[in-house]
Amino acid sequence: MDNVDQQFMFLMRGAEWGGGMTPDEIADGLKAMFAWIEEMRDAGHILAGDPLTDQGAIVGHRSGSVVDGPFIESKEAVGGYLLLQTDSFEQACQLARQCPVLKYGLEIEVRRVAAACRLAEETDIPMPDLKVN
Amino acid sequence: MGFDGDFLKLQSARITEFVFRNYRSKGFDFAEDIAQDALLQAMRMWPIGGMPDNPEAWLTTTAKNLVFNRLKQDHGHLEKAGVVFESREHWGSEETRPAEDSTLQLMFLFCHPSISEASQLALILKALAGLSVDQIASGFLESKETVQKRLLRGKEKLAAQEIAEDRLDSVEMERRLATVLRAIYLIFSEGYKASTGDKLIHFDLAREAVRLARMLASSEVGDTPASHALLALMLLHGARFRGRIGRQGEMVTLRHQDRSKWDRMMIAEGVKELEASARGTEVTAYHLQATIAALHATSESYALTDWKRILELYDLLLQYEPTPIIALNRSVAVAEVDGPEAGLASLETIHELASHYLFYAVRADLRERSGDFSGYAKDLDRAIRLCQSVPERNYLASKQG
Repeated sequence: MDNVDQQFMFLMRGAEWGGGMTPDEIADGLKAMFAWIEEMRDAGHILAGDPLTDQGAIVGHRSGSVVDGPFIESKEAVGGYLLLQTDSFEQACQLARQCPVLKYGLEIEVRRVAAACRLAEETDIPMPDLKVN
Repeated sequence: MGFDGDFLKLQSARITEFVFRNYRSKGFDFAEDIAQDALLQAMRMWPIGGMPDNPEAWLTTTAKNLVFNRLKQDHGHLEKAGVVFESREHWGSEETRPAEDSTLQLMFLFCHPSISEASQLALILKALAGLSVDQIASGFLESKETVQKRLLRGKEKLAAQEIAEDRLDSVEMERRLATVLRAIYLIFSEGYKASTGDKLIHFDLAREAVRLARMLASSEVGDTPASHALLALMLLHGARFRGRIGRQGEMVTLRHQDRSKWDRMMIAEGVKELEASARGTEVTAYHLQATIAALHATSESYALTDWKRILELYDLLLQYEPTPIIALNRSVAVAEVDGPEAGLASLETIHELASHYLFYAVRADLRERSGDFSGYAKDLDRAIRLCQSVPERNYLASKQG
């Protein structure tokens, strides 16, 4: 049973990580990443996940306009996300620490998903089972 | 998973060649950067998004988008000034070559006569073998700066007029084949017998040389007796790699190698390539060296080796390549056929190796076998002082005991 209290978002940060890696290193990095994700999936941790392209825009009030991407200069750019379910925040961080390409500059921001979401209740957006123990 | 480092090297060469062909004016660095970025994008996206059905097509599309974005950035100021940027249809219809063809195209391009041999090797190792500057530097025991300078000089030549106007057709490729073979041979030689440093064999250099030679020998332009002979030579030497290194990384000489450690599959492939090299009438130095290597690789033991035949081959090889190192190797064969004194006599005709450790190492061995123990000790001492390879020096020192 999903417990939204223990859902975490992994935000994969860094648009330029991996610079200077050779093809052999990239092949190893790919294999290790596939294995890392597979293991989390087999353990039932992964609920969703997608990479993000660099096409984007920042919509804000200040300039009154939409600012076009891509935002290549941003070291903070989010390159993808994973939605995980774990037993605890500590376990989520533990899983993130096992990511095999951190040494090449990828950073993972781990964020707890908030339990109560009024927006979802009011608008019928399909949400994970909200039954809280 | 359907990919490995070799797959990515081929893809990298394919994209590099494609971008360089279409955007020559942007320089070789531009093409290399696009290829590198496309590979990195794959690493960032595939694990989370899943492998694309067609990784090759995915990489092509990604590379084209990267080119488009880069050009758009470069032209940003022009656009603001009202200059309309060319649409991506401009190159959207162009196709890339098969990855092997691209690799060969670049290899022949790098071996342009105006590019120095050292730069040729550096370019091949960087752009086709996918080695880092560090790896190349450690392979040839040179500083990173030297390797970088060689790459830079090579890339400057690639961008220069004489190469830009170069038509790399099959006639020109045939003309350049000998240079390409020599480049691969030099890469292998350095890998086979690291002349300096703490490792006896640089496996990555040797391995890449074999990979490139395989590709070359099975291509239309490279399917020549010389290519097959070179491939045979490298396979037959490479098959003995595991026997040449002892448990502590020390050198083991041919006489003492455990022949069960030799790679039978590689020997079989090498013999097959040697047979393939015998088609036609051309005999090259590679043929002779490969035949010598085959005699060693297929002998049951050091004592049962056909030294007479090997000596004949060295005599012939000396006519092709009268180099002192080949003369030195020949002396070893002479000693096996006619005894250590005859070997020592033939050493006396070699004068160019007065500062080379191998000369003294070989002479020490022959002097010991002929009973000249004081001469042996002197030569061994000189060999140790001149030797720059740590495993070989350790080996020599162990005999001093």
